[in-house]
Amino acid sequence: MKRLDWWMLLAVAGIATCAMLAQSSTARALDAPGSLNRQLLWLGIGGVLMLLVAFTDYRVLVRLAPLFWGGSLLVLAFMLVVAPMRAGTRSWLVLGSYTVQPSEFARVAVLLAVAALSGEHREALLDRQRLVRLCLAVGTPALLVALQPDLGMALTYLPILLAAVWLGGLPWRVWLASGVVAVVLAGGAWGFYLKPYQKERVLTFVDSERDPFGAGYQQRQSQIAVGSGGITGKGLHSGTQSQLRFLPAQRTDFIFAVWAEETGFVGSTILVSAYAVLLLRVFVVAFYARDRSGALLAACAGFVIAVQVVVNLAMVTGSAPTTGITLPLLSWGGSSVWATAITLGLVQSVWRLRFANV
Amino acid sequence: MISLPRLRWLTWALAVWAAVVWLRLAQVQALDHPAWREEADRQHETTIAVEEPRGAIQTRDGRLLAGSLERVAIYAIPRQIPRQVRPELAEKLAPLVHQSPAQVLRALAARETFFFLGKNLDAETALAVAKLDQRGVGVLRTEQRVYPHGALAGPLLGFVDAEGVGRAGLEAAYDRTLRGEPAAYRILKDGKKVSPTRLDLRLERAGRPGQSLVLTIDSRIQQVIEEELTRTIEEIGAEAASAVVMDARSGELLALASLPSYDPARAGETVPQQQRNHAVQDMIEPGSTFKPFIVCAALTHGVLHPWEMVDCSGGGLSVAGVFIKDHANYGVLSVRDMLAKSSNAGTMRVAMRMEPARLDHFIRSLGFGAATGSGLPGEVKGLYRGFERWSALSRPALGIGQEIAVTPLQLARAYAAIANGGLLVEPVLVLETRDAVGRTVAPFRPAAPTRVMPEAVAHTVMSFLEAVVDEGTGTRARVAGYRLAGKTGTAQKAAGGGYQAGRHAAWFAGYLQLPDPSLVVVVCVDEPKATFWATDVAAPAFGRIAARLVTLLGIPPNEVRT
Repeated sequence: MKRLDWWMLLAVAGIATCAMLAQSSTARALDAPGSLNRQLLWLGIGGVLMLLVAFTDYRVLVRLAPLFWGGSLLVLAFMLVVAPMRAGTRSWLVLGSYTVQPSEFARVAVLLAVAALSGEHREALLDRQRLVRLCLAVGTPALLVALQPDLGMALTYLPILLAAVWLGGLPWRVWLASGVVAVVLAGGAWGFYLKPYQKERVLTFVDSERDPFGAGYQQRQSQIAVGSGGITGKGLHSGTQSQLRFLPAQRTDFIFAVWAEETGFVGSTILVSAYAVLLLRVFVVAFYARDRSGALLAACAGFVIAVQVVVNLAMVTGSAPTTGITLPLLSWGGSSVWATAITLGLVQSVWRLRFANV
Repeated sequence: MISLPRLRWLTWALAVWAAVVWLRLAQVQALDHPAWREEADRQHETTIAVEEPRGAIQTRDGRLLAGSLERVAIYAIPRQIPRQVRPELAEKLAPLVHQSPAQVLRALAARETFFFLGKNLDAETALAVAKLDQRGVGVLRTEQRVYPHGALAGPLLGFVDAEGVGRAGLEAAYDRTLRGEPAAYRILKDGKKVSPTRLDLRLERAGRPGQSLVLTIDSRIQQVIEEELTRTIEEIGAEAASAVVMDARSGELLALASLPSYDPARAGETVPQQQRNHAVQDMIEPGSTFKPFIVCAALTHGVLHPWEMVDCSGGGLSVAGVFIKDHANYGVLSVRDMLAKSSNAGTMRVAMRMEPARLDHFIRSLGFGAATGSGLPGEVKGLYRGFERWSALSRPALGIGQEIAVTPLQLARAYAAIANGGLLVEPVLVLETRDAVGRTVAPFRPAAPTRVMPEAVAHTVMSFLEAVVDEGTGTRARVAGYRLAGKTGTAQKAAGGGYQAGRHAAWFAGYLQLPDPSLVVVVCVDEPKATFWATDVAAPAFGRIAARLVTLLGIPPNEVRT
């Protein structure tokens, strides 16, 4: 136990506490006391999962990565066939009265797969063969998720690849070339892949006055909630915008707006600080890892979580388009909480086993 | 394959990115807070108006014509009522809203948001609903407008709609006075547009209850008039009938009747035609009732002498190639007899003695061609065109009350000027307004009357009009023991530039309490069927009204002749 990173655990506990308070507020607003109990249960199980993973040897799990990765691929492919259509996507598996989002767990498998591809100390940092493997390891499951179609979720796979190739030392000219390709692909996506509502979101972000009652509504409501919170907030369970249900998707995508409205700038600073401490510690773990796979595991995990936090906060404050990216540990939903918990457990394991002589 | 410098880079980049997001939070939550706060308030707060009790309408003799009863309405918001409690709830609500439990259940199942389960329920119902203590079911205070006298003065009173807003008659004309100022409450509304989910009322501005109207109408006189008009309609078979009783000195209207009438409480069951107030909304040619004004004009301007003998011969008069018939060839008559026999040829000749501009001015000064100022909704100005647009036929036509259409109220007002020694008054309907505790708010202040003819002329014409009843066309208006005066008039109804065969209106305009009359009564019977002459339709109706009014008002007999 002493070998765990207590700063990280403290930050996670702090975020979980904020999550419980914010979710108790939305449960009241939505007249759904049961949803709070579920989230509490998930957070509790998440904590246990994190500790369990922390006390396993991440190297064993990295060695088993092909198994996890292959299994995830099978499930994701299976999803496209059997998963029920819900809100326009096949993202959810229904098990009795519970629903599971396999794409959350598949991302953990991708993390392990990337770590497994890092190679040994003596090998070259990043050769062409390894680059192709990395792209396939991340791209294949991401493609399957994009086909569900859950574009927001698929986009959260991308930071893993970016972090891996960045840390692997991909030369600048390749980054430049990739940038050009990305622009071309984005153009293609605009023309052929994006659905009208997704285009609308992007356009609305570019020009927020474009449609105040349509796609811009969510973002505007979120800004109103956050901004009206002020310095000290309106008090827990007293946020007018969330309690009177002006704020959309307040359990999931916009949970931070609930917190910001009711606890104000003080509360949001506390929460942002907790995330900062958490992520800082994750990167510290990457520096201290005993081997390449551990370092890559921690760095990629940190980057994925950081991107989610920053993109979600930018969306909530009206500085990024609505993407459907949830806030790790704070947003409602068991799969997301557990996947994040397992990821952090892996990072703890890297920390615990950082010394070569253990 | 991990580069530590690049890991450091990545960490710093993320730190900067996080700092930017934090600064953005500071901007939204601290710097821009006032603007967002205002936006939030605008969104979740709204002001609702809660109506205050509506004022009553009563007559000068203290009878309540319109009043409001305090009622409650039960509302339900089904989405807040769990399914499992509904059967038991329906069982308890059903007797309160006078429905069966099954009906209540169906109503709850059919909707999701706010609706009224029952309206106009006894105030005690509120207590019963409060005892249920069920979220999603509640009561609101409402009012029910009642008209204790039913159809009495119905078209004059008008009615209120389902929201309690006056839509016709006095209810509409004095709607703002009767309604008062609604109280304003701040209410929190939610994003699902279902306002009363979390009712959080805060009084923002206190209201003021509506004021009551005390009318100049005397309910007893109104009752007499309506009974006699009803009798006329039944006996003669007319389309409609109206009558105005006016105090000639003050202009106060003691009765303003329009039949057929309707019960304002059941206005929803009537058609607009039934809601018509014929006394102010009908435009009818005055016919021979206009002749006294021609004589007044001629006497005032010195083109006729009171004791002059007028040429009433020829059995009619040919003007501009048109021959207008008289009832008989009367030869030469005094002015008095000309009016008593209602000679067309005579008054046409008198009218032609007048300069057009002077005749026009005199007619306008009596208030014709303009609204009377009664303020009743839908009041018409009548039809009258100025002398600039007259033809060669206009003066003789006006001489017999054609080329002009008037309302019964306009005619009563002009007749009052003769009784009032030549002074024209404005008709008055509201004696005073009173606040909720009965204090007088606005007593009526009469406008100064206007002199429209010398007093001597008025007295002279009044004496001529007495002859109409004594020995002329109005003998059927006589009441034994009383001196009365008046004038008959039979008009053909005009439509589309010509007269309509077989459609007439019968008029009688008369006075009570001679020799110094203070009461003017104008009766108009629209499209009488059995017989159409005013002599046989309107004069007897006036006679019956006069006979009952002298008894009712205790006017002593003043005629010894039998």
